Amino acid sequence: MKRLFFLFILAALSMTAIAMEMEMEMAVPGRRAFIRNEKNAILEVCLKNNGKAELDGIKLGGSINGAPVVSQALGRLTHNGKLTGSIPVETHLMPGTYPCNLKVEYSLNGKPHEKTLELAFMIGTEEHDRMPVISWGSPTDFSPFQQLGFTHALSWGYAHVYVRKRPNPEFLIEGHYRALDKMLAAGIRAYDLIHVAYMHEKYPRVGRDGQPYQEAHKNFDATNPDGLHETCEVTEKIINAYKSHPAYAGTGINSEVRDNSRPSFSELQLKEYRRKFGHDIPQEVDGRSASHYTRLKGFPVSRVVEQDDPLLQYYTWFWKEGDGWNPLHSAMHDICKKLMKRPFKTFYDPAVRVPPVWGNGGRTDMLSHWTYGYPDPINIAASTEETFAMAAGRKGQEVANMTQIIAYRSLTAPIGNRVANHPGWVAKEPDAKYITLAPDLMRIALWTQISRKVSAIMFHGHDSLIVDTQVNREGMYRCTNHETEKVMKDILLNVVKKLGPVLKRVPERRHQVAVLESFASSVFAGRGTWGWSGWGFDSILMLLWANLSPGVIYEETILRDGFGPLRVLVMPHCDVLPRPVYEAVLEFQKQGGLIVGDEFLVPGITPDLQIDSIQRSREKPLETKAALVATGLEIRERLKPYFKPYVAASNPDIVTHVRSSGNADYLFAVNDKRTFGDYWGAYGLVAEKGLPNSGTVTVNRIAGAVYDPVRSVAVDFKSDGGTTTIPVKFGPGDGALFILLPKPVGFVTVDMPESVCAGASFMVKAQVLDSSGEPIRTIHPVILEFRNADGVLTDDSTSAALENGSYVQTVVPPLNGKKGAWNVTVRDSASGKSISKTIRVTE
Amino acid sequence: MRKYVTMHKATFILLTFVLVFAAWGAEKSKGIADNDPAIRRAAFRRLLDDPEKARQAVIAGLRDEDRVIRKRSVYEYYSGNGVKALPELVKLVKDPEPLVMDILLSCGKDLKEKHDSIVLLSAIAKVSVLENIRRQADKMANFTFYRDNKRLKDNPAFDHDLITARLFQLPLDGWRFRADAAMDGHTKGYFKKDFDDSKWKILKIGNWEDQGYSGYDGIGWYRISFDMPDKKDGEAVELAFEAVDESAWVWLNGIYIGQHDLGPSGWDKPFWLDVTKEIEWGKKNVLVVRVEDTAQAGGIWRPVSVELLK
Repeated sequence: MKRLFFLFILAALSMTAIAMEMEMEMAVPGRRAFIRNEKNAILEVCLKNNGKAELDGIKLGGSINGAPVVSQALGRLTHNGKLTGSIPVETHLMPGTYPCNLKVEYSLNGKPHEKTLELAFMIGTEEHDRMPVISWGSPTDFSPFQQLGFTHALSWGYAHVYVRKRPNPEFLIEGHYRALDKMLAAGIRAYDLIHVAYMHEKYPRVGRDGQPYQEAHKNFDATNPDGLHETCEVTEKIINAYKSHPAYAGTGINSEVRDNSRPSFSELQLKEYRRKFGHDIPQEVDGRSASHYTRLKGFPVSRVVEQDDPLLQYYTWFWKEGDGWNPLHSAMHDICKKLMKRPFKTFYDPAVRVPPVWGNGGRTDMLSHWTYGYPDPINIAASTEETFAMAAGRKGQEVANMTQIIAYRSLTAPIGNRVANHPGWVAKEPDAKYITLAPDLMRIALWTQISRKVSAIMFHGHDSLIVDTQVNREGMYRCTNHETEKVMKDILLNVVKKLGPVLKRVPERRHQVAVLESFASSVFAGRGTWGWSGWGFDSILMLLWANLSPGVIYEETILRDGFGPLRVLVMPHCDVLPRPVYEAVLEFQKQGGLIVGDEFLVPGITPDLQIDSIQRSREKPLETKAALVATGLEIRERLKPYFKPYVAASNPDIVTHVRSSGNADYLFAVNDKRTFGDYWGAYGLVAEKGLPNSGTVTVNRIAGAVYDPVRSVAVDFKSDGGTTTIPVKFGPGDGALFILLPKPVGFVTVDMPESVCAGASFMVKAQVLDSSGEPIRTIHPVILEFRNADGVLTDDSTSAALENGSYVQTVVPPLNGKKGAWNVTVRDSASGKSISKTIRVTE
Repeated sequence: MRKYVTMHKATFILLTFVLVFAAWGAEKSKGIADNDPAIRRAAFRRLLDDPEKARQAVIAGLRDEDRVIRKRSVYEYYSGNGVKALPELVKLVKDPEPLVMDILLSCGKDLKEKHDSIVLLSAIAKVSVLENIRRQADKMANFTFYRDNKRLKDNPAFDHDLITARLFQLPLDGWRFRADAAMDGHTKGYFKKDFDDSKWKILKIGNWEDQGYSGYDGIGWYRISFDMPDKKDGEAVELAFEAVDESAWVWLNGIYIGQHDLGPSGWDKPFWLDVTKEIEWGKKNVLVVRVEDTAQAGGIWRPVSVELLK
């Protein structure tokens, strides 16, 4: 009996203990990872009273990595009440994982109680300026991608919590926070894609008959006020949910949503148009552009339309604001910016899959555009130039670009095509619809991507690069060429990582040659490149192969900015022009500007140089390239008496591009010499195998030194008569970067104190001086290496860009690192010259 | 003596004026005969800017050896003279350059009076040395059906692969046919859905030469009715023609769909036309094809199908 009573008491006590446990709930659902040396870092601890009685005298204490307990008095908690306490986090620690012991003390019915929680938190590496290398789509384990040189993972998961209205959002978000912690610790940053295209079911565009468009024409009517409200609400929820985690670094705002956009004839749209323009939407408006001008009654023989032509006016309005997408994207961007109190990037991609008129992507921070590395991998230069033209409409809007890792099987090695020798991969992946881009094409595309001043480079189709063994993706993207991974690793680590800060900064030169992409011709003649094809697009490639470094110019650019230093205006597919543009072009010509026109050019403009358009043959890619090259070279030759391009190459397979910073030129050269190889060559659709190439590249300037910053060596050159010529030798698909300076690099200097206490900061000032002892004041690449007392490279080490003669870095040796001498080396990436100094780190 | 000097002065001033003016004029004309097209065209443009010389420059330009100057001259001449330019334009219809003939076609289309328009277009259709231009002029004068039929797969904004999910082949036999030597079937409504074709001959898919029309080159009209099943899900619907010898203009349910108009070289080339909007699911549909053959065999000689794309 006594024993029974004892057991009863024990059980009762246990129950009470469990009940006590349940009274107070303690959790850390937010971030548990911090950037080294992050200021004001705190661990947020959530407390909740699950019991019926009030809890008072609540005191939260925490000990980080064995340090003394820090306490915080939090008062009382009523039934179901919640409190958030914060424990300061010491971030002057070496990167790694540290224990944290939390304890909450409180009293219930006057009796003291406590609850403890042990968890780990992470200190991630220092954040340095770098070229973001973004993977659209994130494999389950990102570490192999990080080893390849990727810095950012774009996922759809975060936004989906609210976009797809997932159940238990708090649970999902906490899971995402743990994933973000790991990314932060590893130095990776996350991007997201807030994509609301699904709303077309609820808010569809309607045709003239008032009925929603069907099938492929379905599209969200982004002008619908309820739809706009819902989109903004969802965006707000997403940003609020993730804003406190710094690994969440940016978001794409929708994608491909304008592909199916077409005039909507809802009552609201009709009213809005009438209100704005004082008349109805013209009867002729039906699709995404007007009828072909040859079908329009009374269309002038001049093919010059007035700026207030009703159709031109409608379609200008439609593509700039009327279809609702640009204002919607601006609204979504504004919400992100309002809620985020830290750097956070918004972007829109694909940015130029619309007619050539400003505004796509709205006010987003950055425009990007993806294209494919075939049939010609320098495609990415053309679409990037187009993206620059689009971004020119919004001051400060940045540009990024993206190469697809995937290739459409149907366009490269079609299933069912009979060929003499099927390549080996076909037997392994007979049904693959999306395969891996050929390695040499990737090499050319990647070099081309970084030759332009972009703020980030992106890639899509990770499954085609590395097989994600943790996910069964049968039927999706297939990895059919493992060489592509090696190529990417080589360039991303040895070029992009090493020179990223410089690649991001060195400005573009103002173009001397530009292709006019006419919006009016898109509207009335169905023209436009849509970011990847057609004679207009190929004409950009033609000029690239001719080393004329073409830019792209919109009609709006001409009307706002004039022609600036432009010498040659190439006008492919300019069947129709608005009168002010037409008149501006005539005046440009009168002032000595040169016009290159094709057979479609409006009849009132007499080009200085007449060329015939070239129709691309899908089955004869090399013949098409040869035709474009021939015409490009002919243009170059015939312009010779009137215009001297800034750069030249000894053969058209060496494609050049120059950017300039002060008196330094950054000359990119890419080897586009290709033939049919053993990967896709048998099908004859894509010449995917690179060939070796050699020759010279010439720049119209005098140079005192030329450097290869990838290999960090001076290279041979000849500089006289106002030009500098550099001999070049390329492997298949290879690229090169040369820095041309007026004087050679003399030496490197570094200033820093002789000692510093651990946990305190010190400044390192690096300079590169030329042979006359003057600091190089142009944007210039350097590498800073810090080795701690153990001789280990620390995460303070980074690539950097000198600006205005120096680069200054603040360094804080960690509190828990070994004390002793640190070695600091500053290396000039151009010449390879370096200097080392030591600093004593003390207690 | 004074008078003599004064007269001399006046002559001198006049002479100077004439010389300066001539030099100025010569400067303007400088380069018009240059072999470098850029210089030649720049000189031509300068002349156009001179009100005194523009008219003469344009008239001379109509027969300049440079096709670009001829194109601009035709445009300027027509813009300045309108219908009065017609007699001169008719004289130019043998120009071998597409660049020039294109602008002549535009003028022909632009003339306000149909009669004037037909004069120029018929002249082009009759004597142009460019076959494509002749055909265009003929159609502009006589047959105006045209539609830019855009297939979904060619939509530059559509970045996805499409596959044929279902294929409904139209009958190989039972096509109603009528030769149209007068080329006026379109004015008689042959393409209309409810047109009575019961008296037309019945042909099979194959050359019309082998089915009672031996040696016939010209226009022929085909009509066929077919039932479509109830609506199936898909991205788009297309009419797939495996081959029509040579050119074809297509109507579905009385609505003009598009054309396959490559001339003689189009005889063995397959083509597709988007009919997503025009197809009537679960109903009887009427397909009408106007075929033009200019030599040897002609007609719809390979099967026609309706394809559902996903």
